[in-house]
Amino acid sequence: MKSKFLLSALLALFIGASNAQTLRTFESMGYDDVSIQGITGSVSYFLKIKPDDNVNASKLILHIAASQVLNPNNSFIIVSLKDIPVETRRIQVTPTDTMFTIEVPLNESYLQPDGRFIKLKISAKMSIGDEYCKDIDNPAVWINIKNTSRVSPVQQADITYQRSLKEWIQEFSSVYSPASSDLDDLAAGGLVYTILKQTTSNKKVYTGIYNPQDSLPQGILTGIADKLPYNVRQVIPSMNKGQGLISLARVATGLGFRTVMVVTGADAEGYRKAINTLASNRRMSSSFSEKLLVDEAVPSYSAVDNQSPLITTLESLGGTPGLLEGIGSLRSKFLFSLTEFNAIPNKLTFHLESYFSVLKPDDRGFLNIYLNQNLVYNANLMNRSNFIEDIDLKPYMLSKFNALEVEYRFHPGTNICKDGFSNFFAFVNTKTSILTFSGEKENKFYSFFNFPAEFRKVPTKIVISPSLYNSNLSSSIGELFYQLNAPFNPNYNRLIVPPLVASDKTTMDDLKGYNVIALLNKMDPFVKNFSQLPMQFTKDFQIYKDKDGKTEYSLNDFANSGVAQIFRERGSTILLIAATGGDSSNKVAFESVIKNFSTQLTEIESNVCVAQGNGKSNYFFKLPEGNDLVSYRGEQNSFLIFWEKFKWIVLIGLLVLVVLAFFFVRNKVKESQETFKEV
Amino acid sequence: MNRCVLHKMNEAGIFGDDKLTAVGDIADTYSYAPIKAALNFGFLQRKEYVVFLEKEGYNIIDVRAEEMDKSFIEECEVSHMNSFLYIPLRKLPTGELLIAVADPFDEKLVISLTVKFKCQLKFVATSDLDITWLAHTIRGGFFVKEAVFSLMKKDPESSGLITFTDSQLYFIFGLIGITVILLIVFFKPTFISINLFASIFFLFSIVFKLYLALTGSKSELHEVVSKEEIKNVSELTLPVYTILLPVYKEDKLIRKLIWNLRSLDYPQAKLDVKLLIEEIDDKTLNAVRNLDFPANFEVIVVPAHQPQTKPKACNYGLHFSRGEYLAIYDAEDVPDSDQLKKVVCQFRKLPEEFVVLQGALNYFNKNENLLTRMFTLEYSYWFDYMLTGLETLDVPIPLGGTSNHFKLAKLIELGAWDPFNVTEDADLGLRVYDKQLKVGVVNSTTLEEANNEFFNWIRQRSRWIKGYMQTYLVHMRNPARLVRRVGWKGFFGFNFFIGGTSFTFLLYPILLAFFGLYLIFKWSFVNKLFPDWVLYISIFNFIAGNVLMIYVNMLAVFKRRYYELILFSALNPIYWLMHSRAAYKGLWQLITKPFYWEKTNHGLSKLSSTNTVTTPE
Repeated sequence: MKSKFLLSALLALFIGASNAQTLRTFESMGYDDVSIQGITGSVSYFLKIKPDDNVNASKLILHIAASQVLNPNNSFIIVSLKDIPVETRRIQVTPTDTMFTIEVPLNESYLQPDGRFIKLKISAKMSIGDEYCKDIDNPAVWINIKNTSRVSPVQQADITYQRSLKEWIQEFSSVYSPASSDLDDLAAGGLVYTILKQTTSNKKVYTGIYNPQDSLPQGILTGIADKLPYNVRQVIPSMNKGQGLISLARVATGLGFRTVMVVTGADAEGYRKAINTLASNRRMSSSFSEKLLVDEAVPSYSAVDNQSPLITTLESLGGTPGLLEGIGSLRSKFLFSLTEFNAIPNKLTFHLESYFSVLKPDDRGFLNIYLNQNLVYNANLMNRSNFIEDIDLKPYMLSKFNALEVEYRFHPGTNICKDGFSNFFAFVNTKTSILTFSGEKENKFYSFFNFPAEFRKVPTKIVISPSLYNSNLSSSIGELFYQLNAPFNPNYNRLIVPPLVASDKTTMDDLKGYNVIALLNKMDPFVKNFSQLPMQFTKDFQIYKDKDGKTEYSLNDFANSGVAQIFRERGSTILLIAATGGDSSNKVAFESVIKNFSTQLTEIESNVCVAQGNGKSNYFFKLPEGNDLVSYRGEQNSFLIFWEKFKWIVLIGLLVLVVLAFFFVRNKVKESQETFKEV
Repeated sequence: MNRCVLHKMNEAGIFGDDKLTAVGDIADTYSYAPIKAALNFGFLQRKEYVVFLEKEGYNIIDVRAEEMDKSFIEECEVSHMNSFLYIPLRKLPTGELLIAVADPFDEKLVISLTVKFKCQLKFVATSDLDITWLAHTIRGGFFVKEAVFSLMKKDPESSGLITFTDSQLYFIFGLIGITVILLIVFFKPTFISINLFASIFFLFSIVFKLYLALTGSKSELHEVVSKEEIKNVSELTLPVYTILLPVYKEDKLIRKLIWNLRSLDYPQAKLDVKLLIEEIDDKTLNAVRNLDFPANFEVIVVPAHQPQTKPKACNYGLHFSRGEYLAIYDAEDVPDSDQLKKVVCQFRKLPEEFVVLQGALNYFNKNENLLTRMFTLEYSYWFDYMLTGLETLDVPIPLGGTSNHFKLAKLIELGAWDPFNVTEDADLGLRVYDKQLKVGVVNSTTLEEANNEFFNWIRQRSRWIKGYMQTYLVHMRNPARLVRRVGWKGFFGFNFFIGGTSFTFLLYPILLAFFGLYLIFKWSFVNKLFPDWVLYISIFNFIAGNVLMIYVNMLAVFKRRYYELILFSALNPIYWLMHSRAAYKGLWQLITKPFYWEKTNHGLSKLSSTNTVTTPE
């Protein structure tokens, strides 16, 4: 057992040397810069501690910026670890340097019971003048905790806990597929990408390809055993026919040793078993080992039932029970997305249970509820000590990603807090406060809002053009898998991974009853199966504005634009993604458009997304069925071109015809009169 | 009565005393030769008469083949020759003047001609019809010119000789030009506006018709003449009643015509029936000649002159009419037997300004085929609902087809019919309003033969619609004047009823095409042209218009209890398409052949007209 731990530590050290040190900032753990505004406030972090970290020798280094006008005599910052205050500091900055650093030595007693995290809480009490209460709502009262703050670890040979296979994977940030890929390689690459990205949402995941003859890349290698580099094959455990393997491998290179991870199989069957295992959260999280030989693993895809009403506690939205204490604005923010929903819910009810201190006669206290920064509810707290009520929120205020904020606003009656206890405290019960979503509005127009819910609810297949296999599309597939499984819920047993099929080996009949995500080369004949495409991307196109007919978007970048379209075809919902440029297998274009449509925040009614691979511009369009907003260069456009060129000549021609018709009729009228002239 | 061939026939025992007396009275009343009275008032069969003359040693000559010295004819009045049935031919080498007569035994005629020509006369016997033909064709020139040009000279503003005035042409083509420019420059809004205008006009025009029909269904407008009143009317007080029967190549209908006239409950001696035959129409003339029984009408031959239209023939016939009242029927018409008495009674009851009474028309062969059923529905709502509706609202009534009863003197005062207008009746109805006079409706029905053949129907309908367009153009030459004369109500009524009808038919297939495109192509094509709301409005207008029109047709069956036709109302959209086909033909003819009279063939029905007439109560 001891030797096993030792090996792990060595491996970790090796990986750590290249990866870990650079990834221990708060940013690498998924945190942004966070501000505390107002006279009091606090923020909490859960900092990952690795098994080979010598916590007792490690330090926490906090980078904090503060308002220059704070009164150092009345402004303090308190650092707590595991809710135990460990450092208090006056906040003192100069007009030219607003930053200051706090170093806190760590020790094992601050670890959470699982040994994997340290809970950090930073609180502040601040004012500009002598009297706190006068600075309530003063925007100049703030500090900002930078996400460059970091844990500065010191490694040790021993390890404090054994990593799960999933944690091993998450130690890496790159995934490599064989140069000659197939659908299994794309699935494996995409899955690994997803798992890596789920670690923290803003983690940069690199995808690449490897050739057996090239030097060994640093990261996770996927591919059937035969495709793996020779030196890797030498060190991985031997597999029987039909067996899969997920394993760390210490590979000798010319310069020493390099540790990589492999997802492989003795043959295609075994490889698929390894892929299926990757998709099993439970198995990956409960395998505390560096290698896993897979004898049996079932495919992981299953549609998620959409429950209605859907009930979510604030706790499941990331809320933690805690006391809000202070003066002024005391806020709790809860983020939720509507990815579970195929359309805006019919009804949204917020059941809030909270308890708070009783107000004194002259105090003023209010409860405000904000949905997406709009004040949607307000209550006076006078003569109450709790608030347990259902609040109906307006569903039309929802977007795909939403923020619900509960704010207690307390103003003491005297405006002087110095001489006595004036603090207000409140407790939001995140376990019993719930959001209830009931029903869904009728889906008349399919837009990106329907992604991913539409593809989670209904069995889905992913169709890929064979010509794209070698285009290093792991990141694109990975993005799709990631979105289909967002927000990541660690309690799910399995990731949703729709089966991948080749466009040349499937027909629309095979896809009957399935929703389809298609990543196609624009020249793939499979595209012709889609008659309801809002926009024919195989031709160069222009999209016009509705009102004045001016061109809004004209395809002029032939190099790397990606187009995604969502629409209904033969009773199925289709998400078709393609690159429009000359190199229609452009990896960047695919990746760019997938990222764009899946993260769109405002254009929830769009069904066409055009994104340029350089990431500089992307466009969303609402192109309803039978619209006339798109025009194409080519056969159909030739009329328009002709029209624009010659319309004045046509007008003159028509006017000449009108004049001729006038003379014809006039002549006929006169002729008929002539017959009767001689009376 | 002076001595004539009838006396000889009496002596021979083949012409009764009572007949002789009656003929004498008629001849005196109308200033006709006795033989004309006998032949034209149903006392004597032509063939019988010819046989008698031949027995008497007269050879009946073909006078139309005879050599003629027209200078002698020009000394005679056409009306005199027509009334006394003679025609001077030429001087014989013996110095005698050869005169063809219908009755060589007519002593009064012999004396008067001897006095007139002051020479020895030699008479040859010939057919009265040939004399009539020659008299009118050679000496009818003045009257026929009057028939053609009288209205134009008297009231050029009301004449349809000019189809489009210059200002109308400028307006129409200016509008087309502007529309073309707008379509090119602002295609979509212009196209939407045109579509909206067209569909709203379509709906409004049909709603107006529905409103008229509902108004008509509520009111009993006719001065109803009771059966008792008719029974009590003294035949002695009844005036002479002229009936004009313009025909063209209707040889097959002549027998039927005689029976129809005989069924009229009116003193025979007071029925001045004129069969107006075109000069070139020998077919009909010979049919009259070959009748096996006495005819009860007088043949008037209308000399050839363009335009060869029914109003020209009627105008010509007016010159020889003797009646106080005048009615027009088509050859195949079967009027209610008491219709003339009813009209006389009603005219007597109505104020003086009522100068025309329109009788209802309907069809005796309504159940013959689909076309006749649709036609019957149309006529039923037109005459039983629309006309009464128009009268209630005091909107100009376009007279329809036949069964118009006029006060003859007033008709002449109005300038009679416009020979250049192919729906001269509708035009005349409006002119009556224009002159501050009134058209009334009489609750008596004339059964006609519904057109039962598609192309024949198209020909007839294209003429009617062309005539409506002509009428519209004539009366809209000066809209301000029209408003002054008929008021705003009359003006809008005229625009929607006369102008709207033609325009709606022209519009209908276009709207139907758009509707069809919408159904077939869904949003992919039609929706590119129109925003949804325009499409919804247009489709609503179109569907509502059709449904309302079907409803109006369904209403039609109630007054006459033609319940078996009610389901056929649903076929109105198809019937309208046929109208549209006819409308486009009419429009083209309006430009290229405005005065061309599309002949409608009658007598195609296999059903007889013995069916009872159901005049709505």
